[in-house]
Amino acid sequence: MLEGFNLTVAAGEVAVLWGPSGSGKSTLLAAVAGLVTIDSGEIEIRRDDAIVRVHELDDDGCASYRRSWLGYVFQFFNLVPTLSVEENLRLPLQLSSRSAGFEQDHQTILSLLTDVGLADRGQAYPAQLSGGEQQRIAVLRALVHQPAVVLADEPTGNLDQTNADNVIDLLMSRARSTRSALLLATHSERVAERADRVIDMQ
Amino acid sequence: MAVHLIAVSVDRSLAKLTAPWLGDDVLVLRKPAAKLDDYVALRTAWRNGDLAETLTEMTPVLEGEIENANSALHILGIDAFSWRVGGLFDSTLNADDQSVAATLATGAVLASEELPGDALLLQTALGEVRTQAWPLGALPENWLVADIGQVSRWLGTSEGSADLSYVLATQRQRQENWMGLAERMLPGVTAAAGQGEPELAGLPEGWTVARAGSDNTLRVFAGSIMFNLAALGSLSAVVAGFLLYQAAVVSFQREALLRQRLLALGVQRGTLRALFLLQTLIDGIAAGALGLLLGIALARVALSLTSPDAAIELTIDWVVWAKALGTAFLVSGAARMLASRRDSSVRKMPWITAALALAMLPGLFFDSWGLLGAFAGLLACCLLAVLTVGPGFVFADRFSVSRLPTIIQLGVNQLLAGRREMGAALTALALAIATAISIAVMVDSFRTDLLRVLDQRLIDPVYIALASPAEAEDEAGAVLRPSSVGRAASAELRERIQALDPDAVITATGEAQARVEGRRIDIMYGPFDSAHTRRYGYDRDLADGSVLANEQLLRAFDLVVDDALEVTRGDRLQALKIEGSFPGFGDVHPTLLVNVADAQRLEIEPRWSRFAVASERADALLAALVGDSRWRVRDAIGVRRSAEEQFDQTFAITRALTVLALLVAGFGTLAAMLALRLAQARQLALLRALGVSRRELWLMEVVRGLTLGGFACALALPLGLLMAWILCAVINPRSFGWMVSFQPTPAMVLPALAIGLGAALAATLISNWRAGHNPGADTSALVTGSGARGSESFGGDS
Repeated sequence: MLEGFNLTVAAGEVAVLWGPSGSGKSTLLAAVAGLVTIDSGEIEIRRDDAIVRVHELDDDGCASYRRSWLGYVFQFFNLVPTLSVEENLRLPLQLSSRSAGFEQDHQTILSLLTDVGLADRGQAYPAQLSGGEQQRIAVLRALVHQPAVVLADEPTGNLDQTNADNVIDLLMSRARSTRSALLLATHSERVAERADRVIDMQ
Repeated sequence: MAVHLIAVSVDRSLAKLTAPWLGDDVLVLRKPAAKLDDYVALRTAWRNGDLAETLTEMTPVLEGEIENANSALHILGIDAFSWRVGGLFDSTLNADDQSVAATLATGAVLASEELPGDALLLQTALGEVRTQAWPLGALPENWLVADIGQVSRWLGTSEGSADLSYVLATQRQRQENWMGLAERMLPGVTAAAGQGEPELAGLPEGWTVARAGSDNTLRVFAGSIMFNLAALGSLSAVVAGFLLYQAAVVSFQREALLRQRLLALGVQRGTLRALFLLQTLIDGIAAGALGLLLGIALARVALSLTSPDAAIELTIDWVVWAKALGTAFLVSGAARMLASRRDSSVRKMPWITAALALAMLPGLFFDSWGLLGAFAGLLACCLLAVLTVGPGFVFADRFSVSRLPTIIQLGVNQLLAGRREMGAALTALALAIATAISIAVMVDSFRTDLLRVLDQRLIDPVYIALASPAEAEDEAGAVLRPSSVGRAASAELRERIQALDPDAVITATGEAQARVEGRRIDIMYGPFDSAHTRRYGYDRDLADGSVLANEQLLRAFDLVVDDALEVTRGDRLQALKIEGSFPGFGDVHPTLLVNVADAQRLEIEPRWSRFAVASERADALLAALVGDSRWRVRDAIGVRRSAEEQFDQTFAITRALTVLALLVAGFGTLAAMLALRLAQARQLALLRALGVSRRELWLMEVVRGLTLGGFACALALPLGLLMAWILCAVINPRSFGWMVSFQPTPAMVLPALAIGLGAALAATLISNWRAGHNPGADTSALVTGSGARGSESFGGDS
């Protein structure tokens, strides 16, 4: 599906994969996440002196890589419905071993929620939130453990314009502040205009 | 079905031991020291229309015992000339009326088939009488039937004023067919329901009326056993109902879209309903047929375990088929019906269930509700416990600890969120565990009581029971049946014991029957000094005019210790004071222990049938006395071991049934877990996408299984203990007349809890294994946005 494709995204850079449906944006993201196996080629992620060769990882290796190196924002929010908002945000911290203890994590999460105007929704469950609220939580979940790479697959595809703008603001600002490379798939020109770089997948 | 077949088999084997004319619809009319003249007056009153018009037949009976070649036979004298086609004896004995009437009229007798018909030599009041006997298969063992005049002469009652044992009367029973059908469908239900005391308007003074069935205590006893088995067996249908309901809910969820599309395509709702009925019918037929096959196999195994030497005859008649298919169809239909109406009508279900439970609960407290009421109360407790499942989930959800590691939290939360899928499975599992706990506690408490009583009673090393020749041939028979014959054997036995050990102390007892308030009781007479009464928990000499009564007797006549009771035997009436009571485990009849002098006042001629021997030379006595067919010799250890073995064999079926119920519940939990896996598949894929490893997913599943098992155990433990108490303190007394001490120990409870927890865990892990992991496909679906949209698709809370 993807041939002769080369891409390097720097830390803190916002790169947008732009193109129509079926152009391979989501497949590329899945490949970077280790969710699909590539037939040939290489995917490398570097941070400081560490390096991960995603294409060489086995199943458990991919899981370990995703929990520590990666944040993912889906089009359909995909919060864990059986966990509260706070527990959803606590999950990546615990999985990536970046938890600083229950109370400290609680303070961190509360601070993040306050920043996005959802301080009072920590104990709510996803089903009790609006779409915009869910996606803001999903963005926080993807970035709370300060991953090297954040993948966002049509994060505004299911939102109205106002909520979409809020979510993109949040996603880009936090990715830049945490020095995470953001690879964002979209077919929205409005989103693409705000990227550091646009990769046209047509 | 296994329980039903076993119950019917037990019923048939017991029917061979009891008189068939003592049916529930037959009335027994009694008058103390009644004479034939009294019967004539009674019959005249009936013919004149002074008695109830519903009576259809009346016949006098003289019953007694007569000896034939050193064996005691029951003899029944009936009026040969009142024999009529389709009448009481004609229908119950299934004999040709002409031949029977002719046979009796010629002075010959009818005899049970095992008796040597052409060589009966009866020891009568007239001396030895050789008579011709015609075999009649419907007669119970050791029974003779002859004309009442003949019997009167043989038993030595005076001419012209012959004693009359009782008068049998039949009554038109409008509901007879319904009761009969109910009894065939649920064996023991009529005994459990009780029929109340009959009333007969216009009965002359001095006469009392009772149902023959209630006088037939062996059948009542058997009926109670059958109903206990049937009721406990029915719990499996309740468990199955919950599981089917849950399966149907999942099925309806899956088919919802299909139904909508079919409706959109113009298929009528009636067609869909027909489809629903067809599915239910197929379910019912498949489950009924499979259940029947498994039931037959299980019944064979269970019967061969409990009575290895008995020939098993399982008759698969239309009742069995109807019950198998009917139960399966009804349970399946009800479960699917409820599952299809998960709307307002179902929301009312808890209230309806609570109202039903509260209506049935008083059955525990009112003895007059009988065994049926007790089981209704037991079911009410189960229903009330079931009602706590939903609120329990909500409570646990609200207060679940969020300081747990997230993976563990996820496992717990996944279960709580899957309450719709898991609620019924949890209920079924909890009910199965509770049933297992209750049975284990009741049986083991009973066993503890029994062993205590055995230790109390078996204080002498050697026990001997005189055996009739028929019993001696039956080596498999473990019942020490008393015999009223064998005085010579008794004397010889004493001589041989004294010869072997002059210091041996022999305690001899005999048995007889009498009546209290017209109902049969057993009397055991002997020298009840303090050494003897200690065996019954009473360590003083039993004074003249005082008796010890078993629990059944106190219960049957609503008496307490220190009350007086009047015992009648023939013309004799004796007032006795109840000095104490003792547990009568295994006693079929209400029983009194009386001194020999009191027995003689009731005109009982002492005939010793049992001997307890205290001797320093027990081994020598055992070696010398064993092998003689006139008596059966047992040592105390052997009697104890035999009693233990019998007890364990008896309850082997019950224990096997509880394990089976747990297995069924385990399978149900597996199905529920698979359904939950299906509903939460996308969530699991999401977790994989977030970096949760396979090992962590397994841990999550284990947590989920343990949480489910823990919930089930938490519900089952108090319910099981409550059910056990009901079995010990309510159902046992109402079934058999004795109370079992409620004495639970951790050892009785833990196995059921462990099996239940293990079943939940196994179901979870198997479902995980069967569902497998294909994270690549699942997670790529998440990324590409295919499949269900949004978190709403994850099931559970959302």
